[in-house]
Amino acid sequence: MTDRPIDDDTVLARRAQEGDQEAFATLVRRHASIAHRAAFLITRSSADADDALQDGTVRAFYNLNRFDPARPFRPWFVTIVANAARNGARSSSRREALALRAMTVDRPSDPADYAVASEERDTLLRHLDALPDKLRSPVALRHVLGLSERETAAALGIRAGTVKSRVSRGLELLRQAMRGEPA
Amino acid sequence: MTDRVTDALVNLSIDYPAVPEIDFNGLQVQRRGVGRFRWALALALATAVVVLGFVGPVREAVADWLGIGVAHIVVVDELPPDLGVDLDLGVTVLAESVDIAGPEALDEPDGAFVRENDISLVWLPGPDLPRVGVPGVGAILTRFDGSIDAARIEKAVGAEGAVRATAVNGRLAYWIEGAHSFGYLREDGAVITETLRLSANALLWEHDGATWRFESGLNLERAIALAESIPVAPRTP
Repeated sequence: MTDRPIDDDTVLARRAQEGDQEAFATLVRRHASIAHRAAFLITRSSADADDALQDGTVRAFYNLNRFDPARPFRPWFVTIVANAARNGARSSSRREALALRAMTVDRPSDPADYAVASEERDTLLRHLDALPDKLRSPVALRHVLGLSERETAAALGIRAGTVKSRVSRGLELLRQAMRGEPA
Repeated sequence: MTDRVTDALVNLSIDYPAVPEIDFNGLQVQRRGVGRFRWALALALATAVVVLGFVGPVREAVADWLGIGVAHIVVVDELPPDLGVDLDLGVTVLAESVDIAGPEALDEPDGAFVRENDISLVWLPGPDLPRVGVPGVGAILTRFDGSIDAARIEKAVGAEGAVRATAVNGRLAYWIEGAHSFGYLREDGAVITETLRLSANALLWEHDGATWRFESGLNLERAIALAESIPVAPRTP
């Protein structure tokens, strides 16, 4: 049997619960990116996503005693940040609702292929952006960010079955939109 | 089973914003207060005496001082004008008589109220305290006898409200914008649901087993600065 590496999440979580703030910071930084992305997909505002990450970090720290270190830290932390994002998104003062943008990708050798791919991607993003909140977030977290059904459910505070049905409905609307059919 | 749309979603490369630097400063390990049950009993008893004195047939015109435990409460004849009338904060008492003080940067409160185990101080609007909805009110500081029920805060924030976590004196606090209600957990395990009386911003934090709430029209930074300037004596008699 080999010892777990010192930077194992479980070890760090236990140390954090014992008051090791550096262990907590290491854990949070390790999972900050996906938590921040989840917050951004929920709020569509970089400022709100920033706030949610900071807010969620504070909440996580003060709720460490409720975390079971035998379970993975990432879903727990992402859920807390996502909750903060959902709460923050209610304050509409700066809800500019940034449209999701696709990253610029390297041009393929054939410019025509690039134009088609880029146009399709932009169209898909536009349709995704236009989905109602309750459908857009499950679809984005599940299929764009790649969270599991259970993680998506926890992040959005809904049941896994509801995630499944909303994702299904959202995908159907996207397919219709991509075919140019009215919703 | 996947199709073209799900494939395209999976392969989307969103232009995510950069992950910000996280501020870990100010996070401190919390320690629970002690002796709050004794304090609660003392204040409950004091409050009961105040209420009895208020409705009794024979009353002194001059304030009747009471001193029980750490709570020193005074019965007065009249409410301060334009203050607290619509707030349902409980029985009016002299501000000097309660065992909580306001933020150092504010003047002495313009009124004080006791309801069951909760104590409220009220300030009139002023140059540094904008009016907040209810006529004659600039800020309210309340100490509730119980801990914050965070789950209820989350659920009770309405569509127009927002709640975020912050810190007061290095301890977890909540900043709530807009109308909302919240619950707090009493010593006996009961969850008490409170409704804010102002559609103002509220800062909630815990200290020594009690929940403190500062309602005002001030921003978060100013509210935290004021909250951290409140002199808080140990509650153990």
